Amino acid sequence: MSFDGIAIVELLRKPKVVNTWQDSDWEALIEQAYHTGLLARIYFILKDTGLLNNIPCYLSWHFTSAWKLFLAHNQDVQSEVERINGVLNSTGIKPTYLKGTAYLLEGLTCSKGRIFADVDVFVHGSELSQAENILKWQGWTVKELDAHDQHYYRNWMHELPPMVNSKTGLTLDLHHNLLPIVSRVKLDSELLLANLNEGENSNTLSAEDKILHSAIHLLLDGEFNHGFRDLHDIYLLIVENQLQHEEFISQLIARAIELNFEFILYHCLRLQQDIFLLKVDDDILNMLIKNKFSKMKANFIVSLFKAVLSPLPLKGRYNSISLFTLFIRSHWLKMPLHILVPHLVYKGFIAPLKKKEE
Amino acid sequence: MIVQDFSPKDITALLKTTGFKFKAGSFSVKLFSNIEGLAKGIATLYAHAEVPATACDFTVHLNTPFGLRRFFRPQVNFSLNGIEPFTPLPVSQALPLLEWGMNWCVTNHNHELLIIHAAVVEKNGTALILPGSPGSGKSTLCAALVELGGWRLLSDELTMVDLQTGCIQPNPRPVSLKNQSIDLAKSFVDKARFSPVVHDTVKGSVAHFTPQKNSIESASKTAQPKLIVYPKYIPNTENSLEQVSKGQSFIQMAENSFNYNVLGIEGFKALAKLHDNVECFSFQYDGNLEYAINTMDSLVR
Amino acid sequence: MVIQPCLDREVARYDCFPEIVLFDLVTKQTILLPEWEAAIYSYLLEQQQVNFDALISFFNIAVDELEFFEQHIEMLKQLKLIELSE
Repeated sequence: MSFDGIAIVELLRKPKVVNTWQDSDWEALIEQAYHTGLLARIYFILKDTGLLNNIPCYLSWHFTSAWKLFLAHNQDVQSEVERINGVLNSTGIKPTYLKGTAYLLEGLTCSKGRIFADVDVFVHGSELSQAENILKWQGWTVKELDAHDQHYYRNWMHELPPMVNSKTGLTLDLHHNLLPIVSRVKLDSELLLANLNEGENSNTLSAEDKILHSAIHLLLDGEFNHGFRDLHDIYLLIVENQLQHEEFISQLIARAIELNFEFILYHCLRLQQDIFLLKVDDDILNMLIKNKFSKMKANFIVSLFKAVLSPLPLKGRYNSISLFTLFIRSHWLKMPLHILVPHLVYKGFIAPLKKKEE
Repeated sequence: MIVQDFSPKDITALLKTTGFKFKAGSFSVKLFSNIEGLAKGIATLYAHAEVPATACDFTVHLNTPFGLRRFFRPQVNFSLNGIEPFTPLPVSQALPLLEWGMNWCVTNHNHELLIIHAAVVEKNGTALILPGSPGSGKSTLCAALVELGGWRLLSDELTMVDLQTGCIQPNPRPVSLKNQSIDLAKSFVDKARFSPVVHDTVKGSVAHFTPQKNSIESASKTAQPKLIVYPKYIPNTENSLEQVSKGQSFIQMAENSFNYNVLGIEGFKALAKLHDNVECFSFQYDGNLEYAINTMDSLVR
Repeated sequence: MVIQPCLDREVARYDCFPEIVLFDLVTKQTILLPEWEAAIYSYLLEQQQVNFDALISFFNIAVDELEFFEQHIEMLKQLKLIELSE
């Protein structure tokens, strides 16, 4: 599918396009921005480029309201981080924040207007039970899960069942690995931890690793609710870093090769080219494939991802088939078959029945 | 153009194709739906509402999900641009679901106004705010004031306070009634203005009636709030009207607000400004609506 | 309405005699100080700075009689819930 002519894509590619917009274009943009959760980010982009006045007066409340919600969210997350740091630092643990929280703490462009429900925290496997215990002691509670889900989280996945701060309602995901433990795609967390941006009380991943980590989740998680936004996060991360070092893309590629994530980054960059028109030289891109996998298969995967990452509200059958294919694919990559089959059976047949019994 | 200019058949055709646009209170909706009979309900409840030619605020899909479920106990799903905040309901509840969904659209996304869960009506330029928990008789009192007492309906559910001016922005939408209050209201409101009663919803039996034409037509006329009355309906009780302290009222209004927490200090300032200009009362009444109307009238004389 | 620094944080204040409504800019909590608490709060602010958290938890204890007013101030001082600015 083509992304040309989709209001939100046109705006993100070149904000000045709004100079030519009619009311119907704004209507389409608002629809797509609600769907993708990008209203507040678009407010920021239009403000940053001096284009806010183009929004028809009677529609501007959508954007300003989303921005206010972001400001309140920003303040909540900042104080949540202070609380978490306070609790974990007191036992000598220095947490590493991931994803949205990390962008926010570093004040990156992609954090402006980005609203998220989970604070993702990584601690070392050896610190995990201590961290979990002290957080529970300090008022975080674990969401109730049935025995299957508990087992799934603890033994196969890379994070504990989500914890909720009973005072603020924010969810905390405590990770002890950066990818599922039994994943077919291996990631040595130690390699990422050797390369951190160190802060006073907490850390974040390095610029390259933040992008790779986000790309891994985007392409392997099998859930695309925020997929379009996450893809645009990566775009903004790349552009912001490129402004600082011209050679950033080469560094990113070198890092992907070092960590064995060539195929993830390759697909991710292809999507960036196609959707946001990111400029990447073909020579550089080819370094990532080097005959390791066929271009035809890559094209097929890219087209599937483009279908599910569309910013248009879901319609039609093609999309649900793509979603299903990618769901299986992501689980296939994450889990060995003997675990995958019972898990899917459980999710598909047992869990829905359980809901009915309640 | 207003909704009345369209026949239910026209509306059905639009709902199934390009969407039907109409003004629901101060906000415009573009509605898509494959549900038979929905058009008739919309034609009744939104008869005088404008059909705008400009861009709309919310694109809403109210559809029966695909699959076998369509034939066996069909359900209806509310979606705002692909976001589905509610579990599907039996298809008979489509119209109430649209109303609840529209409330969700506004209260979850508009933070340019402080939005309080309260009815609000106006007379002689004075807005009267009626906050009330379920069962307090807030909606019945509101219906009586606008239908029998000559007050203008600003909103029966969402009181929207402008953060800059402190004025109330009207949001005249269908008035919602529950259980016994439906028959009571039918005794003084033309039955043709009612949507069919829907039984067994999460809120019991529910029906809506369309506001008067003048309320819809003066939807852009804001009003200065000067009174907050906390109604409490208790059968066989002694009627009483007592002053409530501003501090107590301030806290109650904060607790009844949907976005006070999002607004933070702005919300606090708005409530402070509001309380500078209002008198606050608690009103206990036995269901005698004539007495209630006289009491409210005496407060604005 | 005024925004007023306490010893430990910023608090917005709405006076509606005899009560005071306070809004904590950090935790976003809104607190109503009824008549007596409001009087004590105002008095303390005139006299010295107040440790807000301590004061609020103190107010959870009923304070309702005029003749105890000075005693309460003394108690607050003894409990080190307030600090003298002199």
